[in-house]
Amino acid sequence: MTSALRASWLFANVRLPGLFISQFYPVLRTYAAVGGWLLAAIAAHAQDSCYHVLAITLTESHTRTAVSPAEVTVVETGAHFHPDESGYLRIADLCSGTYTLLLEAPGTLPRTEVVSIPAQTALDVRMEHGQVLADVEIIGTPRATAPLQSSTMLDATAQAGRPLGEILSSVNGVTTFSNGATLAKPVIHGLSGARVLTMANGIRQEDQQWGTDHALAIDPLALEAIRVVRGAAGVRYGPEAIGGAVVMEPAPLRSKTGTSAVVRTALFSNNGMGLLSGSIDHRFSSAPRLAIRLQGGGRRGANYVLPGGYRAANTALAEGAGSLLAGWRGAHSEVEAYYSFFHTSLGLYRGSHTGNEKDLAAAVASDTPLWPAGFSYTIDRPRQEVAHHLAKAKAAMDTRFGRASITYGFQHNLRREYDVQRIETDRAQLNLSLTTQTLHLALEHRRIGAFSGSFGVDGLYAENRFADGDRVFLPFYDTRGVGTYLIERYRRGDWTAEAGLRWDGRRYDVQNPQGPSQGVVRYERAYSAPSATLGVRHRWGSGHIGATLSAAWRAPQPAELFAQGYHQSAARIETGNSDLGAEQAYGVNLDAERTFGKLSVEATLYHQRIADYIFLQPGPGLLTIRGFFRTFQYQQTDAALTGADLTLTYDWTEGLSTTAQASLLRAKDVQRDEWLILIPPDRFKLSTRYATDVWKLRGAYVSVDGRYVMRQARVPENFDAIDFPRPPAGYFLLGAEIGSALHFGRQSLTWSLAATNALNTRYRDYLDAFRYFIDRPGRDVALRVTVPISFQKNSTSTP
Amino acid sequence: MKPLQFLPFFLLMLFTAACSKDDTPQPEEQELITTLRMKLTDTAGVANTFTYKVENGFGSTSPGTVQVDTVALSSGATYNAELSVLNEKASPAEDLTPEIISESDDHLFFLDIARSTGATGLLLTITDMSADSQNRIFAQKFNVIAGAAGSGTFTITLLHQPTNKSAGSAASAGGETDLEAVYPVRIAP
Repeated sequence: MTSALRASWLFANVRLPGLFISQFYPVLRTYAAVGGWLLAAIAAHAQDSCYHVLAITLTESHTRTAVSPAEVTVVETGAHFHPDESGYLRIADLCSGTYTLLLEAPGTLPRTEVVSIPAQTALDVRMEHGQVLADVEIIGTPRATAPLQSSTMLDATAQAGRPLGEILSSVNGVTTFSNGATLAKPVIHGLSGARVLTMANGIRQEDQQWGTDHALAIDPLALEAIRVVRGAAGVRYGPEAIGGAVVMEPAPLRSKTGTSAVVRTALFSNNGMGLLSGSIDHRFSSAPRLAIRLQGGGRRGANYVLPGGYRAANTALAEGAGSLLAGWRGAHSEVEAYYSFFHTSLGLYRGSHTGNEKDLAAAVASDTPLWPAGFSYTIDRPRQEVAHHLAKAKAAMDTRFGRASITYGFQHNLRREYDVQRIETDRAQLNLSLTTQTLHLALEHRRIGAFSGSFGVDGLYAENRFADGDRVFLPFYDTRGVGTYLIERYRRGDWTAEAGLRWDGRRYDVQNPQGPSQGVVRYERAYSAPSATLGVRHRWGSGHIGATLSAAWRAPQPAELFAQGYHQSAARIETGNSDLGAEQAYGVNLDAERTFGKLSVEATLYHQRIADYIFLQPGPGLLTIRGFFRTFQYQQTDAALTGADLTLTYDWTEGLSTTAQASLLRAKDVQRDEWLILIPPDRFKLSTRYATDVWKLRGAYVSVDGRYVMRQARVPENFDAIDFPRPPAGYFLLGAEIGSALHFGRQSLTWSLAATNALNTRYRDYLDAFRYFIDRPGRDVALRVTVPISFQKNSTSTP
Repeated sequence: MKPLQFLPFFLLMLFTAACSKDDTPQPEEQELITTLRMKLTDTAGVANTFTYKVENGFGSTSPGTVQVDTVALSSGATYNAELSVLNEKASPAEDLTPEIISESDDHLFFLDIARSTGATGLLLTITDMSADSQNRIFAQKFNVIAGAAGSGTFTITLLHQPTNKSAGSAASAGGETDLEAVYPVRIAP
């Protein structure tokens, strides 16, 4: 086992609660190996700044599938790097210069690439299929830490300024559930909210406990490397990962002493939004084992413009975030401390606050927004203010059994909702706080023959509170959780297999004020269930074919158990059901990747059964002082979701390629033999990209993409009794982007200009909660500029 | 920003988390309205008050106490009407009328009359609706002239922040509904 491998264990191991830790994260993995390269590189380029980054993606030329395992050798320095399972490798802190890279992988012909740094920031390598290395075991092959099932890496910085949910939706098979243009959360294979787990720097993000219309309180520029795992992944990440998981990590710390920084800015034409974000990295020359990063930024936007020229009243936003990361690394141990905060103040479209069903019907009937508005950065009621604080400490060390780690996470979420009030007040009508502490112990054992694996234990304690005088929403409750897992991977020849088992328990202690006198009734609810996974993957030509069986579960959310009251943007009354049991999901995923000449194909087929799927069942009407309301109660049924994600790429010539994507999904209520409500309709995407060097613009590119989303015709028979109007019509959107790197002497920057909804198309989306009231936003052009700043004090490299 | 400044903050958060009290807070129904009262005074000075009350409070799975008075009028008579809005769940009952009057620009009592099927002629004629500070309709006070004998409904909708106070229907007036009282009306010959 090489030192690079051990270093990768170090990082791979330290994920917090409840997750299987072998999720491999490429950025961190490369971290350790960078040192040796830099030492040599610095000697050769002592005068130069060494802050550059190179992202390498290895794909097989025929199947277009990821090449893994593989090894990248820098010929000049002899340093070795290993891409992760998706063939992705990111090397940070590179000095300027020209390097020769030798790329090797079993089953492919070795390749040599010459790269010029910093002109090139990304390198896509097509490995030709060949027999030469077919049976060569690569020394130091990284642990098989990425999940076997479909997952995709994303770089958030390229889409800086967009809501996190929308950034995620660039992955085929992922869509968004939104409240207008400013609030979006991911939908993976038709499942969202409590059925998608988000891991922020190794800690489960807990703010999704509060219900459906709450976006993730994470700054994607702090945790810029994102992996989207599609399909149930309960063993690896813990309960709730029924639909999938979003795993976000920070970029690695500097590996050599000295200071470097980067500044990012973006401007948006539609809502006059500006974004400024930056980070500064330092490794102490007096204590070269210690490195820190201070990162922060914010964005502020006015109300956005709809295609008809109207502005959406009160949709301005202001957001600020910051983080501090400190890492200490010894020869056989590691300590990391992390703190981050996120604060957002978000206006909700004024017209989405309706008083009763007639108000809603009037809004639906109107072709134009009922609330007029001019350009304004003011955030009025109704609005949400959300704060999220995360503190994390972890320690890891090598033992005779393997790598052992302990991680503690402290998370504090605050949420204030300011409703439209009759009487002027500064008070928020809802003041929720959720304080969560998690502890995770893991042991990643030494390789035993062809087996590698890990074992871990998780604990969680959370307190959910509201304030005196709040509107009724959720009870006061404490959550306790425990979990333990074992996951093993076997790799031999062309075969890789993985099996894992996990058990989790959850307990809620609830104090629910209820009834006319609001007397407190105590409830204890306990849920426990196993999760399991069994996966196998086989090399297929230069690609692979694989299958994963998985079982995952989630406990009902407190909102589903105890919600009571009026849902303002849907003009209906929703009540919880304290008798709900856990949701149990069983899924099978088949995926294949292969290239045929210039055409490459990537396909995923999935089928999932969810027993006791929780949904809102319509009930009788209820008379209130504001008129009659429809009522809904949470109930359970059995659901079946079947879908396919398909990506075809054709390389016309060097630099010019066209990609076609399709994402299809059928979701049924099995008990009643009906379609499920609120399932993303089928969608298709076609994009063409041309990249070349033009004059001084290195890596210049231009791309155009068209997206067609169909009307969702598959709705329950009683749809009109549940929801109205019927799902909106299908729509086509056009987007375009150009960008490049630019160099002025030693200074460089990257820029891009991206247009979304370029044709200013009027449309509404079925999964937009504002579809009753207003169109989706009109044309938006974003200018993004990233400037790395070097400090000429680079000195020695760390050991 | 000095990194170490965060440290006391962490410790404070840990401490407060560990020591938070377990007293259950009391939620409150926000700006609850339970009751609309319509006081009708005839030309002889005789006053009658008609109540529309739906005490839908917490939980909202049942409407609580419901009281809907039938508005009984004499054909041809003129009445002076005055509306008041109350929260009768508070003890003592809270009269919300003064605060609504003080924000008359942001409120509108929308008056809507429907005659029962089969009958003819106007059920009620409304005149002299009170105005807000910008001389737009507010209608907290108005006059009612009872039409020919018959029956129907008189719907009073209290709208918050209406965008068009002269609209022809409550729905097209914009804003959101704070209260919707549907009174049965019976006019004696």
